[in-house]
Amino acid sequence: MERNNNSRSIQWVLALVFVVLGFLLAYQYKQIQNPVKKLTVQETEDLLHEIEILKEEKTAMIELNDRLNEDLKNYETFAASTDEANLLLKEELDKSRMLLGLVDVHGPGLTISLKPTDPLLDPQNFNFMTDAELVYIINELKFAGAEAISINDKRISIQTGIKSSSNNSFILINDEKVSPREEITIKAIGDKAKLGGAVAFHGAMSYGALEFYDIRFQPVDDLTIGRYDKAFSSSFIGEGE
Amino acid sequence: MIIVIGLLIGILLGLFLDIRIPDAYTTYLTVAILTCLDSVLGALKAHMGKTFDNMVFISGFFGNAIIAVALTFLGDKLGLPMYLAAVVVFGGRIFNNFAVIRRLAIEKYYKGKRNDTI
Repeated sequence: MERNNNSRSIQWVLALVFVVLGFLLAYQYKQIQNPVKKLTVQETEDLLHEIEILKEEKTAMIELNDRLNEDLKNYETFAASTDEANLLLKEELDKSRMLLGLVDVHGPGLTISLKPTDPLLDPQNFNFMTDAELVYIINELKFAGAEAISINDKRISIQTGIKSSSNNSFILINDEKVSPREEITIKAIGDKAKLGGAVAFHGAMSYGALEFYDIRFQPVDDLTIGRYDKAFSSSFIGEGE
Repeated sequence: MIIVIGLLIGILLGLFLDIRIPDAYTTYLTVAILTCLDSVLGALKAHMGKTFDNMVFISGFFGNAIIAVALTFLGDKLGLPMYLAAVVVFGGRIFNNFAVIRRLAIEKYYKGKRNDTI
């Protein structure tokens, strides 16, 4: 009788063993068939879709902003046309807008293209550029009198920040991504000769990881730089007494 | 019979129960499956050779799985793919067990045939 009981409990344990085996096999099979990553792809697709929608919204907003700006200009012109002082004020306002980067600008200048070389050429020392190199170049250009600068058509405004992100997989400029692994084009409007001289100066373009980049610059007679398409923040500043 | 029922229940649980084991433990699960399969084939071999013992099978089933998972864990901590050791050893044993099962089955088959002719 005891032996019979014992054998029955062993049978249950055997059943349990096979339940475990069956579970493991089926679970693993299910995981392989529907990997969790697939869910991430789905999420990525959703996100991409969302980005598309936001981009469309952004385009619409920019158009609206353009229209409103145009209206504003018209009002100003209308108001200024009546008075000489107002006309001067209007000119001053236009100039301020240009300097702030609120309008597209054009003029002579320099384009600089930075293309990463093959990392395999010097695998031990190779580094991609970070925010530091870009800030350095902008500073060099500004020092040489650049009046408007853009990096990959992202206008550098007075409120632009440049920061490496995600372990330097990209650099954020105006909250938009620029990859240090791809070619970067910098445009600067100013005195062509001065700008050219500043970047061609011996050692000027060998700062940090720049030595691993193929750097080409070209003076251009008429360069166009797009406007800063973000809103300026003025939550904290106030006019001095 | 109870084995088949157990296996079926396990498969159904695995397929329909919404249990999430983190991705990081996939290797552990695979290694555990390999050791369990080895134990089952070992048990089948023992059964055919008439040396099967429940306790040996059950202890081997869980013991081997635990050791293999522990080895994988240790490998993870040491940065060495120790799970490969389990894969090689248990993979080899599966083949060995299968070879013995095959021989025993063929032997049984011939024996049966000979008895029939006599």
